[in-house]
Amino acid sequence: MVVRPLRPAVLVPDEQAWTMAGVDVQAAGFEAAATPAAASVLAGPERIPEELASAVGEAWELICEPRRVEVLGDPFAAGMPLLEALKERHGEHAGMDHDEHAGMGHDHAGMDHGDMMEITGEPSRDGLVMEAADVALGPLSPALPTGLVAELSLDGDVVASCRVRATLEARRDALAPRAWAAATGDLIAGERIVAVELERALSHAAWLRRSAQLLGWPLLADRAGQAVAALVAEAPESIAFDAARCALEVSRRLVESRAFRSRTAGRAVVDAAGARALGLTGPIARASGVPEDARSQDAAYAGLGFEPVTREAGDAAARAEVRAEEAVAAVDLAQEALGADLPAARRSTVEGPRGPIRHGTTPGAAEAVALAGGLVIGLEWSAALAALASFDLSPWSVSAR
Amino acid sequence: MSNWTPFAILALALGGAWAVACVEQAVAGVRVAPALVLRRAAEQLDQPLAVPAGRDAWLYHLAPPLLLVAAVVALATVPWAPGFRGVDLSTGAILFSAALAYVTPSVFMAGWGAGGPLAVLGGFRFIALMLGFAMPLAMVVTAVAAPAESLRPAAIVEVQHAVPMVIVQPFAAALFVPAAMAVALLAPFDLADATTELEGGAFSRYTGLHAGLIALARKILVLAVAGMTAALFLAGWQGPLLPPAIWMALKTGAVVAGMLWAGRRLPRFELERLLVVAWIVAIPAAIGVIVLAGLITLLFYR
Amino acid sequence: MSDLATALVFWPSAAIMLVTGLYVFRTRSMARAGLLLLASLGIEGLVFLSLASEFLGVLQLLMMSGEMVIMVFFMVMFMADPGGLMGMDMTHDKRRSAAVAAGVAAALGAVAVATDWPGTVVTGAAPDIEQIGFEVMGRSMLSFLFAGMTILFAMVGGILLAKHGGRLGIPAPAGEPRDEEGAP
Repeated sequence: MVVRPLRPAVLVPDEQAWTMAGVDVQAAGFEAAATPAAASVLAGPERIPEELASAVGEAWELICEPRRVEVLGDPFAAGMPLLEALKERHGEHAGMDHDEHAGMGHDHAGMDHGDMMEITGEPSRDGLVMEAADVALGPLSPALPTGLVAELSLDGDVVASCRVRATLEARRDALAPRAWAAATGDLIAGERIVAVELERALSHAAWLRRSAQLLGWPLLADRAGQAVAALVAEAPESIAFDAARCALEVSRRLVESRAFRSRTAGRAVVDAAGARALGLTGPIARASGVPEDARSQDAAYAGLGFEPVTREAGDAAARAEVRAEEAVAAVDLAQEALGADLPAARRSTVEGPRGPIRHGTTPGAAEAVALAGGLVIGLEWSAALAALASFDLSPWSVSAR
Repeated sequence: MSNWTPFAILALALGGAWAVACVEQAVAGVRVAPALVLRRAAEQLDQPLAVPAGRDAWLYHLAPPLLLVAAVVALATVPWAPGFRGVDLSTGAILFSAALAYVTPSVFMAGWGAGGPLAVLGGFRFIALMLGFAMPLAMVVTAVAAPAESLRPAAIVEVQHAVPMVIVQPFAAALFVPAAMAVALLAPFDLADATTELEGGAFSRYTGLHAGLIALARKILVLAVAGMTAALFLAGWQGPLLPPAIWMALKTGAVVAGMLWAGRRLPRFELERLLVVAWIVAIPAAIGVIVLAGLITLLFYR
Repeated sequence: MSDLATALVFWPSAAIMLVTGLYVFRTRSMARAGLLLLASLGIEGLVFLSLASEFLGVLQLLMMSGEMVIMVFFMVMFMADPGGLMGMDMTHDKRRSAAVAAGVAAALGAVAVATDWPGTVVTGAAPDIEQIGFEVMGRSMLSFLFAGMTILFAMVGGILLAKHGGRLGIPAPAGEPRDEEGAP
């Protein structure tokens, strides 16, 4: 697949969110830039929520002239107009990342100025007295979904502490719009399964692409991107199912390959007992061996031959494999449901890409966000980011009705 | 070396950097747009210079020129044709390693000078990586110089008139190519400026002329490293039928494409793993390669 | 190289070497100190090149880069104020160390000036690679081996002594809570 050269841009929100809103950013000619300084365009939404306004303003400041704004759509569907946000200046809010000096100079709280021979301060776990570097990956970091904030404390290049927060608030998770529509009954029952399954495949493919970009693996990113391109379409009938399934199969095999496993196996392990105790749901729980899936109770799915995908290991590799396999299965289910004649039925619980949606809440999502930060402690920086990404956290904290 | 050599090398550096950028696009499956490469470069140079409120302005400003000088000197040691051998020093192969050795301080200076924690982290990761990889790189150069009984790259090319060195000393090539890719900041060894993990890493705080110089220097580094690989292991300009310069250009282009292609097919390696491989496998293997090179020289090349 | 060309390279290089060497001790930043030392000893490589010692010059350039980077690495790792931003005074025992430094400098200077160094006029095609090779592999092999091994053991030993646990430190004991807002 030959594309035209892409222009680096600051993407607000990130590529995965744009995909779920139906916009193929690469088809529009943009790719995510490493830093705002390397970008020349801000590819943004029409409206932007309050929580992101100051961060977007700061990112805009960092983009060099000549710069322009390109509006690709309206994924947030609420908030202030983007151009207004770009004019505001907020001094102290979290931006792309904090320029806090890496601890080798300022704020030596425990240092004794007099005698240099005695290095005071608490030794870190490896015996060297080092000052922690605080890194705040802000709401617009390319390593995290837009709206997710991670405050990490680095001991050298090893994560000493990590706290993750979802900063966006809404009535529904914008990363799974069709699943929400199905749960609240806005979709005609017959189309429900097709829409939900296609969205699941699209979400997992977009997540795979983001993970591959984080791991620095263009091959997997390209294959997942092909699946995304095949699945992003308005009408289910116009989707190229074979192309999507082929690309997802290749992605699945790449996820199970040794190259991928070497970066993810054994990291950020959630065991089955822990998952049950915390009430985790969705692919995170299924990767830990808890076979909970809202689709198991659905007769329509049983008619299509659905079986929940589980793994035992509970590590980052298992979560990736669960999502890859679910994506392939989802495409198959969608294609079957398109042709089949299913009975009309209303369900109050719908299994979205990240877990069940039940009575206007997403149980397990907040617990996953709270858990993820603690599990990356002790990992080296790149491993920690890859492990965080393996949770596929949603930056939207859904407010209860 | 004539009076025109420096100009020829500079012209080669600029033209070669542009060609490497086009090959990069082709390998990525993107439609090759040669004019677009130049336009984007011009846009980048147009940007204003930003000086971050970082740690060390001197080091921040000195890093891009140092990287560029290292890249150009490395390029200058590569022999391209019997009539154009670059800076034809009798110790050219060691000068190549010496020039590449200055990539490490410049990446460190870029990260440290910028001052943000992720930039400094990028700089230090690169130091850790290169401490392990620099020795195999230099030792393998010794190993391929042994059959030629000379450190002059042109002499090493000429001794391969019968058989390319990659066939005679495959382990040397297997050690050289990854180390060369690492020093040229190529994926899957691009730990210094992992674009997503480190938000640009060591080079993230540069804009305008600095960023342009760094991008240029990186492309020249790739060209230099690929050219030297072709000269040391693939018999350089030797080959039937075609003129020597064409052979060298084809081989260098193939090596560049191969390195960039490998970067796309493999995920970025983790520092931990690379350090283990470098110190426990690569360095003893490099010593073994030198011993083997000595044996091969005594048996076949005398 | 002609006499004029040699002089044009030698004297300014020597001056830069001395100035950068002096600034190594004037600066507070560890990173700058290491890199200034790199500049000083790297320029020494140029001095060698100007004196028709091609191999030594290029080798000097190659070696100094790696060595100084290692030195900066170690300084940042083990010293408490590597950025020099805290204004800590890292000098100790000022008077005695100044006296020793002056004494050693005077002694070395006397040796340098008073010795009758053997001087030969070297042509451009001096085969120094071969001569150095035979010297290193023959008479000086023991001293180089010894020096190299000692330095390596010192580096590795220094790290091992200062650090305990593996690369990621000693793992936290099993009962220690890993995160504040984890399990309810």
